[in-house]
Amino acid sequence: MEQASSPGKTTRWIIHVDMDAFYASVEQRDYPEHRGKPVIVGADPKGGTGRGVVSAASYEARKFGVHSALPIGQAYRRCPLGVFLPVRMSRYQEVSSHIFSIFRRYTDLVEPLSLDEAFLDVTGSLRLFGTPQAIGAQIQRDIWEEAHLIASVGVATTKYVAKVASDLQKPQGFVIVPENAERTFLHDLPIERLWGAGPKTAQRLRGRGYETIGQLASASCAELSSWLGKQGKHFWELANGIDAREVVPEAPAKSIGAEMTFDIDTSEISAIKKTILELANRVGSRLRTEGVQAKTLTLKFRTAKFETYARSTTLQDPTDQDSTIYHKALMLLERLPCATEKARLLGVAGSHLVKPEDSSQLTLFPSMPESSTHVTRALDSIRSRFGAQAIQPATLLSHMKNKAPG
Amino acid sequence: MRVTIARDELLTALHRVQGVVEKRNTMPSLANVLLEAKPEGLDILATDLELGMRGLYKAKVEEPGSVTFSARKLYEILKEIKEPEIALSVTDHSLVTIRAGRSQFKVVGLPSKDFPPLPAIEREGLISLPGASLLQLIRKTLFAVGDNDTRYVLNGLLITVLTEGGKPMIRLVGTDGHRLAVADQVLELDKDAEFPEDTKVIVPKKAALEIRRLLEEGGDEPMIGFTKNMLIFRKSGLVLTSRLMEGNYPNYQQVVPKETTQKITVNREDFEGALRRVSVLSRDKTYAVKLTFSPDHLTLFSSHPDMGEAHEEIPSKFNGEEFSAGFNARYLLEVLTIMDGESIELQMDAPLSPCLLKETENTQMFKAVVMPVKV
Repeated sequence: MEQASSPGKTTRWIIHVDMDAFYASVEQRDYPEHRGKPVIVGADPKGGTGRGVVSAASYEARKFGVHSALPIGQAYRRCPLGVFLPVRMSRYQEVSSHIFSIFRRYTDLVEPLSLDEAFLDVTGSLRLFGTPQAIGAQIQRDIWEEAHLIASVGVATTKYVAKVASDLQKPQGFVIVPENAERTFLHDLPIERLWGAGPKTAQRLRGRGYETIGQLASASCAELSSWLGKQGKHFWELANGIDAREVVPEAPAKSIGAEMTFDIDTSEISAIKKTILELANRVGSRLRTEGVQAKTLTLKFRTAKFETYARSTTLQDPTDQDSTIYHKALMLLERLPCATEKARLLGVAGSHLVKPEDSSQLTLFPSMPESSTHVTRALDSIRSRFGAQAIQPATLLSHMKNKAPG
Repeated sequence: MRVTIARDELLTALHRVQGVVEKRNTMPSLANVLLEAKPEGLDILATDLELGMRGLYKAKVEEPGSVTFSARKLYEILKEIKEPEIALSVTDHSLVTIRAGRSQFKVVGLPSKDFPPLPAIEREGLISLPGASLLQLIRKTLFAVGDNDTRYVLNGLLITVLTEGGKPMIRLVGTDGHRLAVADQVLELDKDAEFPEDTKVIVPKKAALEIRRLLEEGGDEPMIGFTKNMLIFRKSGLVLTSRLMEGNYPNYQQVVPKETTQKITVNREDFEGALRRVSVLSRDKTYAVKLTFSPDHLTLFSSHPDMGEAHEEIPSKFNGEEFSAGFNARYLLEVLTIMDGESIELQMDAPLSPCLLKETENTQMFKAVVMPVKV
């Protein structure tokens, strides 16, 4: 209690992890032929006439002056021999969720800023995993070993200082700012490094003679406040290494769902059931990855005429089991008024997500398991090692016939 | 079709079918009732394809015919009508006119040919049962039946006929895998009644609920019978048919603990009241309550991580060594609610073994088993 009410006594340790040229690095990792080349991910340049902007540029491309948010036509002119690639958002999301799962090994307090950037409060993890720098270094190593991607890490006692630190030695930077060294660390940095100060504000600060963060730190807080209002005080505090903002973990997802559009609209019940099975497996697997169970299940059915129907059911006991989701979804299918029509799209979703209760209720018939928890766990571990397609329900193995030996 | 019928008669009929009609709109006609006007009266049918109900009601039929329309709407109309008599007529296009005093309703119906047929009854072999005791059997077991359980058969009530001590007995069993209830009744059969000795059927929960509702009306004694895949239930001019559930019912006999001498005897109402009070402060979802059995008292304890804790002691008799076990209070309460008599007996060998509950005055005819929780 005493510690919580006087935060000055415990030093918070915050790690900021920022993936280096994330989208471009994922592309270079997935396609080795692009390694060492200037990779530019974004809109189609169409020989310089394309619209849209650069989403990410590899370090090789940055040498040509290509950076994110640059109009793609300009990027093409600056680097005509660059490898221009479209944005594969779902792929980056997949890689990102792997990287966030690495973060969550070390702390629950993970605040995502984007797909490739997060704050981690590791104050409570020190006893378990060692010093803040050891944790930061381990995360950087895990990301490299497991995802073959490089990240920059900043370790400090506040969010702001950690963020500045991670940005200082990119790529593959690793900067630790010891406790009470925050002011010295920030002192000589240009005013543009002030978090929250855009180019305009930086210009105004410079106009008043504040060119470095150190200069702002030694200004009078009252004076800054009367000039810039609340923001003035905030900037002064940041400049002095004061930043009480906490790491706020991401609000948990409200629902987890999967959808599939048929290549050709179908009313064939076997195809519909097969698709529901596949969607149920995907939803189940994601629920388990997120460590939650769904209390409500919804089946969505879009007809060839583009009419969308949905039916939901609330379960007595929340589930994360593929087979339960599948059977409930089939029950919902029977309740749809359009079940005889051609389906264009099917979706299965779980909502009212809850953390699984540690069920210690004993059962009368252990040979009749309520849910196939053990089997599912084994399947999950096989899939995580050998890929999602490694083991599947037989009905989903439609190509097997052609591949079976002899 | 032109019919005059007493408002109360039609209201009774519509009240009975409300539980049968399909509320979820799979097929529009399943939300409907079928009215068939015949010289002998008005036949009223409803079905959800698994469960069907048909009853003949007293009515003055001026012109025979049939129509089907929303069971819900007709019921709502009837509830609001206060006139003693109602006139129903149908035009060619299935437009139903309902007249009562100064009110008139025109409701769009569907031709009766769209109504799914009720399953045909091939062979009946019905036996007569005292309605009151069948109601008791259902009341004492239905609460334990599973609800939308993925283990399909647990969503049904097992009805079985067996011979015990030379007497034929009817037994109902319900379980959801966490608790189990078994209730028996001696069958007083007529000499010529044929009730296959090895009857063992699983009745869907919905059908059992409807049978319970019909029995609660009182009146005539019911008749019950089974074909290979159907249940037939007759009472007061009504026939209810239900598909039986396929599958293997789990071996419930194996999980009922064998009788031992180590017993806890406690006043039923004391126990129920204490459980209700103490469980107020149990964890939200698990309703976990810890029971400590001592030679002369039973202690109930619950604690909620954010709220606090509750504690109560009630007198009880126990001839074994003190021990504690955890339970889902809801499971115990549901059993206690349907138990009769002043005192009950609990039998439990160890903190994690099944707990057998019986009525002290009637130890043979009802047994419940509740599995504990780890605490």
